[in-house]
Amino acid sequence: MVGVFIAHLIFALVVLGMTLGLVAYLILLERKTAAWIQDRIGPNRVGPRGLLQPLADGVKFILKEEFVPANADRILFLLAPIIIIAPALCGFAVIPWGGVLAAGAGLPHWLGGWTFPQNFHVMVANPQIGVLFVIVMASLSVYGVVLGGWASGSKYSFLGGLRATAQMISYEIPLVLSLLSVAVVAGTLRLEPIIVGQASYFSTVGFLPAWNVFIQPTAFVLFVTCIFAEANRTPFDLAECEQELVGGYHTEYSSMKFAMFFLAEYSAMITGAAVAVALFLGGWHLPWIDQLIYRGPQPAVTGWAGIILKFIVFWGKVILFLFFYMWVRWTLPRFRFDQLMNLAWRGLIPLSLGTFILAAVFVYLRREGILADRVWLLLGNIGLLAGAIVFNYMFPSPTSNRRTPVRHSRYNPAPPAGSTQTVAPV
Amino acid sequence: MSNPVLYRYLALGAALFAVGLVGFLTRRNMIMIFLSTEIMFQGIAINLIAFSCYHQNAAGQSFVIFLLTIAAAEASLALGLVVMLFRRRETLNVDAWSDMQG
Amino acid sequence: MDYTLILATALGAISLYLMLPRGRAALVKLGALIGVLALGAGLLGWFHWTAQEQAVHYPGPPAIFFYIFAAIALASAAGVVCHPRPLYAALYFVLLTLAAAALFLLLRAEFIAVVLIIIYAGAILVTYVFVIMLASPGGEIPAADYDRISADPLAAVLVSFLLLGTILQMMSYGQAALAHGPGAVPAAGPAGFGGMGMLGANLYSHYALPLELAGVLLTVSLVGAVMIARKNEPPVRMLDSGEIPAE
Repeated sequence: MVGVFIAHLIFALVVLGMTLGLVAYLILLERKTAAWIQDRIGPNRVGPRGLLQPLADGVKFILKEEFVPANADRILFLLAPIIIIAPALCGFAVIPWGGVLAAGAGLPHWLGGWTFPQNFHVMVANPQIGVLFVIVMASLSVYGVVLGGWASGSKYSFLGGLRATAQMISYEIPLVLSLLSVAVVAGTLRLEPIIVGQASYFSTVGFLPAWNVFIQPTAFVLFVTCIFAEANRTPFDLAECEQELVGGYHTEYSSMKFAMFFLAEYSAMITGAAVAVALFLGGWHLPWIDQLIYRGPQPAVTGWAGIILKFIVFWGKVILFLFFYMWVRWTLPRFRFDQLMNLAWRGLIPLSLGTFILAAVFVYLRREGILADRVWLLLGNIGLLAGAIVFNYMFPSPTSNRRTPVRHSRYNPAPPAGSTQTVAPV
Repeated sequence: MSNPVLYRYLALGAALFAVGLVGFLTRRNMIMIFLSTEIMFQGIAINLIAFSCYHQNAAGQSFVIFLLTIAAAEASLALGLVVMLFRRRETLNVDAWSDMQG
Repeated sequence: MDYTLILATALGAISLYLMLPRGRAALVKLGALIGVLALGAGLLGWFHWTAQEQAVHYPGPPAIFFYIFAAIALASAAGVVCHPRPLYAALYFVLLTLAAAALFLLLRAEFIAVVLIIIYAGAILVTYVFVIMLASPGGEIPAADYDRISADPLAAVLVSFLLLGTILQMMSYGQAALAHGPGAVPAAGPAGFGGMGMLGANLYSHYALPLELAGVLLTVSLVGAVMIARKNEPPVRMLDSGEIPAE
């Protein structure tokens, strides 16, 4: 038992180290992607092709002055970066990075030759609540943003904090619902069995891997939208948009405290990407090639070689997904705040409720033996999406966003026509 | 032989309830009053979960689910009311709303 | 009579009385000190109760975890009640929620623990923080008068802690009465205890109707909250297409 515990501990340290290292290079990747999309070269001064740039950035962060604004709430101002970084680094605990190691697989003799007494899940912890743990950590990370904004004692930070609160509460609902509609079909919240369920092919459309993105595309779209919003990424980065709020909730932060906010944002991105990969993109499943390697479906419990292959495949998918984040950031413009709220409450939440009900109905029909094939759920999802689009056009779009009300706006303080309200001179 | 595991949880629940009651009776800020009721809810939830573990069935846990539902409904309504009252008088003091007293 | 528990209750009452906001910082420190003493006395009382624990082996994690998280829970509850600034009080409440979730984990209610954090810390308390922030702008400004001076601290503390003392004494007697009762020690229990499957089956078989009613209640409160929070301002007239804005 102690050996298994130590193995989990070592794996936790490995994942933590990989994440922190990856965050540094994600920033470089982000800048390089931006440069590539904008037809520039990007950072290329430090080291060969700019590869040492993260080191230079880190040194710069450490050497900057630690600064606390005069009218900041000092305790909360110092506490906020800690509150935001701790949950961001805990979310990795329940993600199955490398499948299950078979019992009896041992370490090489130069490492002591110790063998695992039982099947070892290559993850930090394996509770039955599984992916809900990630949601817990995401919901706790709101406090860092909110307190950072409030404690700074600055209007811009305060507005950023308020926006972040409203946004994160709103987008958590469709996030959890889309996640649950996957979990209810899989019958579990643990991520490892969900991946095992995806490591196969459709029985009718044999070439297509039975990943949840193909089974429930609506849930996938909802989930991806919501993790963008939860990670405060463009097009939903209203809480820190430079053009309106300087830096949003972290305007007043400098040096390593600012770096903590940065680190937390990128860690949240990695967690979101890993959960999306595990829930929707087949996890460690290597489509088509697994038929060549294993001459059958990829086994869930493997030896060392299988674990390493799964680890590489999983991280490869995560990095591709992270690139997708950046691609979106430099492609889509930012939403307006009322559009953001409307999207969540009038668009995503009803749609995610529909997806969840659809999944529940499918589970019932499968249990009764009426519709066993997962392709029916795919068809249902497509029908739901088409229905939502038709439904959207059947109703008049809200009038409040179509045009700026010219009268009674800040450009024209004249009262609305027919009103007896007097106007204070500006 | 009695069950100290159960008793210490019950005592903790009672203590939380008492602390919440003190807050409910003394604080004059509307938000703080609601926060104090939430403390009392937490004490009760601990009691229910302790009984659930003691009897090894899910009844206590089911009650906590209902308790959370009530708490969520209460928080949404109460905070809506607090925001509305705050807009009217620009204060969170409950004593500002004692007009009906003779 | 269980004198350690009476002592703990009395000390707790004095500590809470001193810590209640009164606009004087020295009393708060003294109150916190006495509060630590009260926790210590309470711990002794609990030890008195749990003296038999060594004799019988109870399944589950060691008792030290309970003492740690119970102390955190009580201290943060006192923080909620006594802190003059509402935002700090809300943060203490988040700490209380986390401690309660840890206690639920000790009682093998994993799902409830997670749901408690998601609902309380992730939704309810965030809403509280949101409203508190709306009502009081940030930065280093003094708390409002009605937060710095509490109403009737003595009477409230007396009432609450008399209640607590009575409950604890009754439990102290009841412990003896229950000694030979059925199910005094949790048996190994059904295999699936603590699992989500058991909770779900229970909710949807025994409590199906209350569950539906709870859903209805949530819907009603959602509609109610929207109606309450709606502004009663005349709608701003939209610019019709082609109209030239009046200067």
